[in-house]
Amino acid sequence: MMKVVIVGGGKVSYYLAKSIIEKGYKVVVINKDEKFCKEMAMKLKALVINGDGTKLNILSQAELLKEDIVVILTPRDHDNLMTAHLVRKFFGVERIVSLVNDPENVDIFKELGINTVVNLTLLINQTLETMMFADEIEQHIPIEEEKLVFVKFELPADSPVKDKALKDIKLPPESIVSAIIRENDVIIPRGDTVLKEGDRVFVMCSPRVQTRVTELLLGVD
Amino acid sequence: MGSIVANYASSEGHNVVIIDKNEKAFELLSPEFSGFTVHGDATEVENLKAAKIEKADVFLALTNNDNVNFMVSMIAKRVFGVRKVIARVYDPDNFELFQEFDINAISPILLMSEALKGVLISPME
Repeated sequence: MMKVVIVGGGKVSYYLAKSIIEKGYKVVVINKDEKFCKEMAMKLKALVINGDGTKLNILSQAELLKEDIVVILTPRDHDNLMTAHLVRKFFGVERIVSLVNDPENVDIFKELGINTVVNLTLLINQTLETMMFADEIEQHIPIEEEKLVFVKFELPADSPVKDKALKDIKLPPESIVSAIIRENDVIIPRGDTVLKEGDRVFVMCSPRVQTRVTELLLGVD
Repeated sequence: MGSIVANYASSEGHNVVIIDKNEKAFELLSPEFSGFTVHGDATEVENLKAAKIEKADVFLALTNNDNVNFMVSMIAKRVFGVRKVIARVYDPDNFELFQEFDINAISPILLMSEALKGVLISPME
C-alpha cells in the first residue's frame, strides 16, 4: 500500500500525520529532534525515524517505494531540496511536496525540478490580498458619490441568481459585475462565469439602479 | 578553505568574488587579495545576484554543508548557467547526486583516504 513519508517540520508535521492516518494511510515520520520523535511515537500510529532526513541511510529506513508520497517540511530550503532529490534519485519517488521557506526560491525549486511547492508567505499574502481587495479598489477608483457606487454582495443560498451564468442575469445597463471573490480566488468575471453560493460579488453601478441590482442578486423580500 | 582558494585565484590574476555569511571569514584574506566580498547567505538568491554570478566562469561551493553546496551549485548551473561548477561534498553517499547534475564534486574524505592509502602502502613494499 502507498504510504506518506513526512520529513522534518514541527507541529505541522504532527497534525498532518494525524489527519493522513485518520484517512487510513500508512505514515512514516522522519525528524532530527529526538524528543519530538518520542512524543510522536507515543501519540501516532506511525513509524517514527529519528535522524537527518537529508541522509541516504536515514531515508533508507523508511523503505521508500516509488508509489509513495514524500512531504518535506524543514525550515531550511537547502535541506528540503536535498531530500527531494535524494528520494527521487535513489527511490524513484515522483510525488514530492516541499515546503519552500524563501518566496524567492519557489521558482528556483521549480527550475530545479521540484514542482509541487508550498510557500507560507505567498499563501498568506494571497489571503491578505483578497481581504484588502475591496479597500484597494475603493482607493484606486475615484468614486464620485452621485454618479457611481461600488457595492459588495455575498450570495446567499437562496439567491435567485445562484448557479446562473452572468450573461443570463438581466442586470441593468448601468451596472457591471467587476469582480468575484470565491474562497481565496479573485475571479475576473465574463459572460459565462457562473455565480455560486458564498461568492462575494463586487458591482459597480449608478446609484439609480442600485436597488434593482440588489433585488436581482439577493432576491426580493 | 574558501580563503585559501580565493587568495590563490586572486594572486593568479583572476577576478574573484566571495560570498560568506560569516563576515569574520574575510579577515583570512591576504592583503594582496584584489577581489570583492559579499556578506550574506548564498542560499538567498539575491546574494548570488549581488555577486554577479551569471558572469562567472567558475563557481565553487565550499561550505561545510553538503545540502547548501548542492543547492547553490544547482542554482549556479541551472538558473544562472555557469559552465564549471565545483562543490565540496562530505558525504560519499551524495557524490553521485552531484555528478548527475554535472557538478564537479570533490570529496575531502575520498581524497584523504586516497592519500592515506599511498602512505600506508608504500612502506610495505
